[in-house]
Amino acid sequence: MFYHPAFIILTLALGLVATRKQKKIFRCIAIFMPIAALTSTYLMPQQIAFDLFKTEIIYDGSFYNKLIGFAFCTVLLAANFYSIGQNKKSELILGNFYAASTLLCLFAGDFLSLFIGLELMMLFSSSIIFIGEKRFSIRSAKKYFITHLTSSNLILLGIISKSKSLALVNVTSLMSNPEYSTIVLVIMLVGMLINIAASEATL
Amino acid sequence: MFYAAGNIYSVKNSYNLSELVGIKNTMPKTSFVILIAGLSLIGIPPFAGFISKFYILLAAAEQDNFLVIATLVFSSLFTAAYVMKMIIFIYRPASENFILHLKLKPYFTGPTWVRSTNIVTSSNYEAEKKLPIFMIISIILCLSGVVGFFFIQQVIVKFLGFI
Repeated sequence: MFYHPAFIILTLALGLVATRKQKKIFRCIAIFMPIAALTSTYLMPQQIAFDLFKTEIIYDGSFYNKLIGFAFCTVLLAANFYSIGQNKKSELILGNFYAASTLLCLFAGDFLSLFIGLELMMLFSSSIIFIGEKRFSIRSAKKYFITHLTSSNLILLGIISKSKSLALVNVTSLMSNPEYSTIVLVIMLVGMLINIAASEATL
Repeated sequence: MFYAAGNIYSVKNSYNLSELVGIKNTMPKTSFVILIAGLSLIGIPPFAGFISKFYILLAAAEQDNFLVIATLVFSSLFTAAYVMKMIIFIYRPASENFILHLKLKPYFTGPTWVRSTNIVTSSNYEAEKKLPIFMIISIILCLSGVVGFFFIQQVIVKFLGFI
């Protein structure tokens, strides 16, 4: 848990909120944060599993996940430099919270952390759109929020209704498993596709 | 949510959603409480609403009750629709005409051009009502309950087991 880059970014993003009015410390944290996340991604073990009050949380630090994590942290570093240059503090803070939730989703090894990551992504990305403070941006944020909520609820419906457990299962093995009904799998697929489309639209 | 709504009513004396515009500038703490309570009602993690929704969904799935699962999922969407409407009214930027209607504090000594600009801060305008200390404590307890419900429920379960 302590090596997880998402937790490191989350903690340091809270530090950003606290040091918002102190320019130098704020900038130092903003630059240090992606570097710390990169290091923790490198040091992350293959799999982390811990029991949180009878709920098993698993994080998968496989080679491909780490590779995507590296790329994401590098993009985050560039984005932080840009935001500091533009003096967009609110956007920088919310962007880092969004990055933390994305990494949470990326390294998820169980459905619960995946779903929490998705929901947090929805919340922070809507907030980034919302703080544009234009009537058009507010309307867009509302539409984005509802679309994302619909898709994540469809995924939750799929996870809960048939699997009854929160372990992350390969989608291809779900299809070959006769226990899972096709309707539920189609609902999950629709939810994931809406989610991907909405995230793509944000980028 | 009720505390915050009551606080707004005692200051604004109105039930209309349209009169909530600009509240984020004049009553930031109350607006924040409404935001957290609203997100919890929708069922966004890690708030209390999500934990309860999740356990109900797990129980319904164990009994193969698809109707309950579908109802919960759709009710969360409908809740999002009406809560978002309220949050948007609160956090929508106020127009200049509206700002002119905001009441300056009697002891406000700043320049008069503030009236014609978008600079509306809680320090310049009178709004956020001062609450009694016991009410503040109960609001903090409610907020911590909503935010840290996952950990609080474990303590409650252990306490009940001990009894």
